[in-house]
Amino acid sequence: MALLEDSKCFKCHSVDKKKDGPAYKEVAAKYKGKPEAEAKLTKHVTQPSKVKIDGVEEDHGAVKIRSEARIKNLVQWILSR
Amino acid sequence: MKIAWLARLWATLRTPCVKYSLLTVGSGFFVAGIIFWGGFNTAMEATNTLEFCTGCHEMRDTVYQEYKKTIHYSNRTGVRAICSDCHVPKDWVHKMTRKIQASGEVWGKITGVIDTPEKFEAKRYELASRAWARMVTTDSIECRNCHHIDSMALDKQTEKAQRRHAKGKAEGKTCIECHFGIAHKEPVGADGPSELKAKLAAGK
Repeated sequence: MALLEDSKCFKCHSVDKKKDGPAYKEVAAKYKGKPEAEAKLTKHVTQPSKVKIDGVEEDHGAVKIRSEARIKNLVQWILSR
Repeated sequence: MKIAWLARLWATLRTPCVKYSLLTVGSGFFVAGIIFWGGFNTAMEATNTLEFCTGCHEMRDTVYQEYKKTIHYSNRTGVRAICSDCHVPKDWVHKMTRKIQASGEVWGKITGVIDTPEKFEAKRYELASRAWARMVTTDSIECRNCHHIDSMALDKQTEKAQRRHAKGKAEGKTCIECHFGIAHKEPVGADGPSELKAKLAAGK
């Protein structure tokens, strides 16, 4: 949670409520049972990318640390919602 | 005995004043009024301080610790928004309404409804949703203690923020619908402020 807060993820994402980005519960449901989930999500939170919000392309940020253990922990936390 | 004393007091109060002039009596009431009003407001303001709000461990050990990590506590300009800035409206009528509502919290303190971290966590969503419901019905009056959309220099905001604010304005959203969970941990629960607003509008 602290890493999500520090990286300002909660500006667009919530655990279970509607914001501009999908709720982490929705993300977990989307990836449920998919073996590539962890790898895909790790890439999404560590490499800057583009996302579409209301039809407009926006930058999706990346977490501000390089600790693999903490990133793994974050991804697993999202997937376990 | 007690009744006789009360009757005498009542009779005295009902007797016209013959000893002092109207000016003296009027001046006395005027001065007493100032002292009463000043005292009342001083006491009211005392309940608006950070020290008062964090005087109990229920707030000090939980939401206060979370708020201390946010921009409303510490920022580059040194302007701090304390508890009452975000939880008590500034204007007198709304402030009094809020204070009367908040008096219920004293009962909560006496009965110990959130006197352990576990009890607080169990109640967190209920408490937050109560604050959100209040804010969606008052057009986030507490946010507007300091933030005014008409005073915002939109060109100084990021493009992302400009788009979000334009969208929010077009959809008739109020501050709290997007800016929730910014000073305290966001609780897990069914409805956020937008959903609560829709339910309140539908009379649910």
